[in-house]
Amino acid sequence: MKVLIIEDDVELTDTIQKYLQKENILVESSGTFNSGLEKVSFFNYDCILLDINLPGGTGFDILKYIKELKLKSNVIILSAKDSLDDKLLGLDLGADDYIAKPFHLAELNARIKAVIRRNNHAGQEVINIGNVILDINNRKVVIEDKEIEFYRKEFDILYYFINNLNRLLTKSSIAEYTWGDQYEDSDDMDFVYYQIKNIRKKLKEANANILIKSTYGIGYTMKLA
Amino acid sequence: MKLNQTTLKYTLVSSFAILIIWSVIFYYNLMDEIYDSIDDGLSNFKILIIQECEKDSSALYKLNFDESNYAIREVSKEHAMLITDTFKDTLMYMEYEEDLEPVRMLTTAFYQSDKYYELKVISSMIEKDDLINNLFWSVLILFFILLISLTMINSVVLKAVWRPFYDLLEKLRVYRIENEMKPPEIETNITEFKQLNGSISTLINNSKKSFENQKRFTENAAHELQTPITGIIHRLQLLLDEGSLTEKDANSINNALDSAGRMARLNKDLLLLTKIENFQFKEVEKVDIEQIFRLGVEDLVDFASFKNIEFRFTIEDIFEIEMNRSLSQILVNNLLKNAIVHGDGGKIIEIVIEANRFSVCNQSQGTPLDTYKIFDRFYKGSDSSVHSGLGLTLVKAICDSYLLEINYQYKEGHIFTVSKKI
Repeated sequence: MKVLIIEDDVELTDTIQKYLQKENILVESSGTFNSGLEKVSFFNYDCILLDINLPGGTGFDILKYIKELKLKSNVIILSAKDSLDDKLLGLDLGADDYIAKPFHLAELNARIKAVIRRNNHAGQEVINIGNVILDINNRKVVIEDKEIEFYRKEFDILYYFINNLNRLLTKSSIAEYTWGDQYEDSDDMDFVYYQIKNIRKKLKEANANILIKSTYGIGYTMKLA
Repeated sequence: MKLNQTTLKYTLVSSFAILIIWSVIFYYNLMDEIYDSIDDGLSNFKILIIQECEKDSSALYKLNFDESNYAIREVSKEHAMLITDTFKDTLMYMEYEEDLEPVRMLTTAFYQSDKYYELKVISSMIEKDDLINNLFWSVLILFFILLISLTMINSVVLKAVWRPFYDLLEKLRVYRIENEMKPPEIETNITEFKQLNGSISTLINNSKKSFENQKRFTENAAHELQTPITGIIHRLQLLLDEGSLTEKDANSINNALDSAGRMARLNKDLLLLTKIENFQFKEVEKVDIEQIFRLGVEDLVDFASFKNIEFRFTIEDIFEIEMNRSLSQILVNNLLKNAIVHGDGGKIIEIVIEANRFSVCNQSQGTPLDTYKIFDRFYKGSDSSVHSGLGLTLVKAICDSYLLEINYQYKEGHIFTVSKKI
């Protein structure tokens, strides 16, 4: 899998690159509008992470260019401006997703996988991991041919874990993923713990061969049994 | 006090004073003139009588005034020598008025055929009290005429002269610096108003500039902060992800990560708050509040059931409002989240929607919150330590920008009511 980051912040590019490399994703980067445009024209990428404010131009223009050339690359907009206008304009221009800085690397990872999967399977998103099948569109979990009921937030958390297999997810990262902007309270941490407990129980009862391990007491990692 | 009332007050008080002073002066002048004229008449009369007496000595025998206006009596030489021409006011019985009336009397002496005579000539006098009375009423009537005419002139003149001023005032009243409006302009030939308009335009342009600067600063500051915060968060995440840490180190890094995360959220909330307060959410649509509540509840129901709290809807009517959809979601979700966090387990959160207001009530045994402080930035209740403290401030800011009123009361629970200002 090949991902291009068009972003002028070297630090951000570096951390994203390091994080994604562990997922066996080949990451290339470009720091300016012109070099970004160049790379987009000459090479094919599965996913392009696009910053809006670039030296030499705006990310929206690169997005327009990508859509004009009818390139198959998925585009996720990275924007520091948590502005509604940016989000709406970006999605209107055909971006696949939008993520506002600062974000958790695990969440970016999940989003990249989600957009690629969505496009590769023509919208029919079904994840098969171990003996667990996740039907994203219908929010269904099937383990060993048996449908297991997961509540709304439980499903969200399970999905987040599956997209970040073998990665450490901190409690606050999980809370933020499930709550978005509203995450703010210590109650949420207890809630995360409670949700994980339920998910573990359901997985175990259904004899799933994935499990959620506690790591350092600060977070969890999903592993294949 | 209004401009025309103030002007009228000063005009009337000063014209009243002028009238009083004028009528006093007028009275004395008039009296002076009257005396002068009467005294001249009396002197003339005196000469005529003396001439008459020289011609006809029988005229000398007239001791009483009777039907005419003079009396003559013979006096000794010594007495006559003491008499000089004197005018004096005196009273005399008048048949016509059947009363003593004031008269002007000239007392003089003359010499004829070796005899000395004293002559008294009278002339009927103006009645002073009548005059004062008449004068008083005239002045009063004049004052009322002035009052009415001045009021009318005043209002007409004010309307005409001050029209550009009121024009400007009205334009300023509806002027909002955050909208991209030009400073108000008025058409006038009056120098002062032109200057006023000019000064206001300068003032507005300066404020606009600093408003723009402030807006840009907040945006830029937030923008610039997000990048280093993201840097911190990502580096720490990578460190954690290494997998080769001791548990102690991992915990320290996680704590640092949590703090950085809090900083990021705070920064985001502050940015959002600034944007709301600057009316930067311009896209509005008709929002059905019940629908927003249903969505919010759907999102929070798991969390609520974790705290053993249930939601209950009471829909009396449809509450619709023209507002930004995202802001309506923030408003509703913050109220709901607040209710769950502060609600007691095993209780109910009641959502009531009426035509002009909606409320969220969470039953609680807790103590009432400080009504004056809950909407302040960073106000914290007794039991929370991690709150950014901006949730209710955001709610308040959203309400303020859509002419909604939010009230808090405690009645066997915390009740937040949002109502349309009528």
